[in-house]
Amino acid sequence: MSENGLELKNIIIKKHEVELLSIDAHIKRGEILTLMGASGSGKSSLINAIVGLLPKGFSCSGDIIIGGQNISTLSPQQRKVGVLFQEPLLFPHFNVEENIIFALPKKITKKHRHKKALELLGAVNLADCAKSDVAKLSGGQMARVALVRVLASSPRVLLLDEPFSKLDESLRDNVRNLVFETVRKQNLPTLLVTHDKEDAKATGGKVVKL
Amino acid sequence: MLRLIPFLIFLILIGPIFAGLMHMFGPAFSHAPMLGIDKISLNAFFDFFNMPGIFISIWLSFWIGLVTTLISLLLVILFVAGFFGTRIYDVFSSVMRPVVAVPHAAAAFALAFLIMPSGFFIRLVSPELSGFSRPPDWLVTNDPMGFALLFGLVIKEIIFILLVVMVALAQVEKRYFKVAQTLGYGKIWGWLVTVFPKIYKQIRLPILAVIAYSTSVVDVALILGPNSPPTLAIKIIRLMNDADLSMRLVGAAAAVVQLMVTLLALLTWLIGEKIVAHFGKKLALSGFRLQKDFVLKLVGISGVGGAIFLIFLGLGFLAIWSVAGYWAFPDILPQNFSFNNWIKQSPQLIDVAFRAINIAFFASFISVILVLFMLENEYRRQIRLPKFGAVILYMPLMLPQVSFLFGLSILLLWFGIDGTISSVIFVHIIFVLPYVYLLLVDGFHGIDIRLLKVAKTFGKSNWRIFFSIRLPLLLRVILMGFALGFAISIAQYLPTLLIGAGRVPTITTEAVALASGGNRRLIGIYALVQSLIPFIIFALAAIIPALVWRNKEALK
Amino acid sequence: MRFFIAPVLAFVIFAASSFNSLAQVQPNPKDWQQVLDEAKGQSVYFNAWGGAPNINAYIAWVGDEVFAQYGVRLEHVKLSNTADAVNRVLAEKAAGRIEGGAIDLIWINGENFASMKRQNLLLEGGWSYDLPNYQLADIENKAVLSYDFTEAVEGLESPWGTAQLSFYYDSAKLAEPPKNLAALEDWIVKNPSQFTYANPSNFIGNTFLKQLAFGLIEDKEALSKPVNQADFDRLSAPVWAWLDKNHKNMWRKGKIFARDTTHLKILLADSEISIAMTFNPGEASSAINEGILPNSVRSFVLDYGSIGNAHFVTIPFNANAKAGAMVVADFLLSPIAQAKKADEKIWGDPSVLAYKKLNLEQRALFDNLEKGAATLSAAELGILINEPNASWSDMFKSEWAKRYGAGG
Repeated sequence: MSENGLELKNIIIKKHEVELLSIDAHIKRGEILTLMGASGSGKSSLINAIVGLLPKGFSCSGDIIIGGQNISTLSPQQRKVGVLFQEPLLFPHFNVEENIIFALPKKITKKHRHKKALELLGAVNLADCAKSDVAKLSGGQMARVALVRVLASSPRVLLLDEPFSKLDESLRDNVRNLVFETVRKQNLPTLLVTHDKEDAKATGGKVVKL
Repeated sequence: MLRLIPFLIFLILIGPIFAGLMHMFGPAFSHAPMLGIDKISLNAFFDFFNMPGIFISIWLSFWIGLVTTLISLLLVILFVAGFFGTRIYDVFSSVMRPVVAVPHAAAAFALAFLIMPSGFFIRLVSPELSGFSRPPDWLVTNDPMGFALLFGLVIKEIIFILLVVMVALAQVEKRYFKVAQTLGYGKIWGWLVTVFPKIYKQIRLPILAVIAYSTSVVDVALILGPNSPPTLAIKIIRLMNDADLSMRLVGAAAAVVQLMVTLLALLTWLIGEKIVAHFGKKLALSGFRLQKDFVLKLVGISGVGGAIFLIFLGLGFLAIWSVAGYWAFPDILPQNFSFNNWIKQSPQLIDVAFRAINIAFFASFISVILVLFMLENEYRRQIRLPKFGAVILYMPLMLPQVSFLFGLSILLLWFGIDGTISSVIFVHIIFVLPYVYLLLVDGFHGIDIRLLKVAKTFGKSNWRIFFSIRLPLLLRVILMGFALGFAISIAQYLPTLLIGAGRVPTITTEAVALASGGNRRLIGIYALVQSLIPFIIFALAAIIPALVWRNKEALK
Repeated sequence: MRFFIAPVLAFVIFAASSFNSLAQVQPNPKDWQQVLDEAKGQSVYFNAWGGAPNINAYIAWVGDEVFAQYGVRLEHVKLSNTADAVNRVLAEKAAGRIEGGAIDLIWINGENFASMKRQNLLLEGGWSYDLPNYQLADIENKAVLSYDFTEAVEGLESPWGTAQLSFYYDSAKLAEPPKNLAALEDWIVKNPSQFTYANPSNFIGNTFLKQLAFGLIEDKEALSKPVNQADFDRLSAPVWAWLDKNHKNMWRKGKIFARDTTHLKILLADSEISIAMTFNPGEASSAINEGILPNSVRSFVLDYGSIGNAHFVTIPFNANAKAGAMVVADFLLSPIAQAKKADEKIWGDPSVLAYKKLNLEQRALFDNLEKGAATLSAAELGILINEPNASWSDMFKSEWAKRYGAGG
């Protein structure tokens, strides 16, 4: 874990040879950078590029550096980048606890997984939902589990792809604050992509308009 | 290594077909060293076309193939279009699942026992209503026009096409037809115009398979089809079995002609598609709304419901025959019952049933694995099967079995590997894999790809994701695909008979052999068991996911 | 590279050996003990028609016996058509498989036998004449055991049973059945759609045509000799005339015909027809025992004699278990097996043995057999007409197909 956070150097994303967006940024640890733009402006492609899962037809040039290491040539599995999408995308065939356990890195042994998962769930007051069917959770609970899960994988960077837009108005504030608080506490460099001004305001960080 | 799977599949499917066809074309052109004849000529063809009634045989195969498919498709469409989204539709879709399991031969027997002059329907009304004290001298089954055969094929193909349509519908946006209704279109016409064209692309290949099957079917034609002259496929069997061994050349020529007939039928259908699409579009844009579609709905539900009902009824009748003592016309029930036949047959029955189960299990299991790997390969390389790839996949279903199996069996004999269970399993895979693919492909790619993305960000390897995320979510689809493949394998007659060289008796080869003996009680027993085996597998395929996911709301 | 040589070499040798031309020494039935020794532990694949469950059960019993007594494993490969087996042996010969063939024993007679004999597909050396139990066969009185559809047997096949054409009917519904062709014709006219025969592509149908021939053709001598197309057309004219006249009054107006003997039996059971025919004199009684037909069923033959033949088992030239096959063939000829076969409760197929040649114990086996009411005694079966030359069978088949089968 180095001091340098997430660096985007000369990133140019093209779709079928047409430039979609270009960006140069440096997000320090604990910082949240917001990228604002309308739909189709390529902000999701940036997320895909950082994760390493650009679909066919897209290309990305430039360097992506995390913690001083250039990850541009690594496979998605090796990058240790965490993402929160619009939907919680909890695995329907795992219960809540199993969803968390699945995300835990290999180095945590079988014996400790269960404990660790409960610990993580406890931090967001969901320890007693550990054995629940994920389909039975409320929207807010699902969002919290998704957050816990992505943090369980010990990412070095967190990407947020409009994660609050599908939540009910009433929940949005709570979940937003929880996410941003957690991110600052864990010192994760975070990139938020959104079209919602409220989201940008709540981060208290820099905003870049596309 | 995964990359090799598509090539492996290609080899498995195409290799034997190609080899079989080559060994058919040779003798057809009089190149048959084994019979001491080796002068390339068209003699066999001349002899073939000179056979009495041969053009009738050709015509029979051609029109029955097309008309069966047309009628079945029409009835299914009318039903689905008319009743989609209603309770009746849901009821039918669960009720029809066991019927999918019934092999063609069993369904043919069931129907025969119902409609023949000494069968259930006539007995029902005799002697009171009909005045018959003897069965009427009507030509019902084995009628020379082929209507009984048509009937027997239609009731089974309705079920198959319904299954295929339902699978296709699961992947398609259906709300369009609700929009059409709000625009004043009748339910059926609206559905036809908005939804049907989308699913037709999915179901085209299975439809072509139905045509190919119906032009060249052997076991159903033996049971219900015309005798003199018979359909072309039966003619080929008779030529191949003639004690006069030089008739095999004529048989080979006939097999080549059968291939042409099937291809011609497929071509005719494809041309017909274009014509229907052209005029259909005109009609669709002409303001035609067909709001009064009650009669059509009635036709649809009678057709599909009738097919399901008849098969169940026929099987019930078969069950009664299996335990019947002395049973004279016009009694509806036998005078006495006895389980003697079941008891006497059980050692045999168990032997051939288990052999069939063994073969079906491996054929379907291996096919499922191959298809899963092929689809996983597609996912990882972000490619989809090119159009001609789909054609190759379905090719075993689009060519008449009778045209290449004889040649293939001779080839295997030359290498000394025929007559074993392994070679039968291998040949079954050729016919099972396409159906397994059909059932698996949409479900496989239908999994939310973002779930897999997310798993990658957790650092999980591709194989870990395949086994921990992809496969569990596909449990239901995989089991269904396995069950269908299993049923297809159980029902195989000609491949098991020819490649097994008579040493691999299965429940189906025995049942059809019994048809040559005519013993109804035994036919009842064997046809029932033949239907029961795949039915049980289908039932398991439905129950297992429900059990496994009993606590998971989203997957139940 | 060198790691591959050994397995490749091994494979080549293995492959070559399956086509080897080193013939094994053929078992000699004159040295029966040696045959028994060689047969022990062998598996004999017996290709036999499997459409009749009672016959299948009998063959299963044979299997139990030969295993218990001789250690031979009998596998019944159920055929729906004997020609399948003929084709198989032919294909194996063409493939060079002159040893270790898939078929060891075939239930055969008539055109199929003639075909295999002509094509040199059978085990040579006259082995069947040297089987121990062949001594008991009634070759003196049953010419059909030595001439199979006028084709000389020459020890290439071993007799198994005999057959004779007979008709059966329900005496409760039909008081006096017609017993000659004129009466039959008359009866058919008065009772339309109650009579049929099997399509001559099946042996019982073909037999009916030959039976008609014996009743209608002037020159009966010609039937025992090979015939060419021109003579056949001329000589067989009365048969076609008879059929042309009577088809329209037959079952289904002569548009379709029964498939085989069992189909005829079913049609009678369903009351679709009133007279059926069979080659197995015990078939009607067996059917009564099984509960398929009512007790009132009886048999009859036409008054001018009825065609009879024998059926055999043969060993292909390349059989894998030649000794085992010989042991089975011999057992099939044994008094115990023949008596059990003749038992109507089991099969009802007549014996090929000469009663006079049996000892007292063996005779008792036959004496104890009960004959059902529907079975005709040897006397009642009347004159046995020998099968015509095989060429007649072929021509009747193809001419019938041309006229009525339209390719059937």
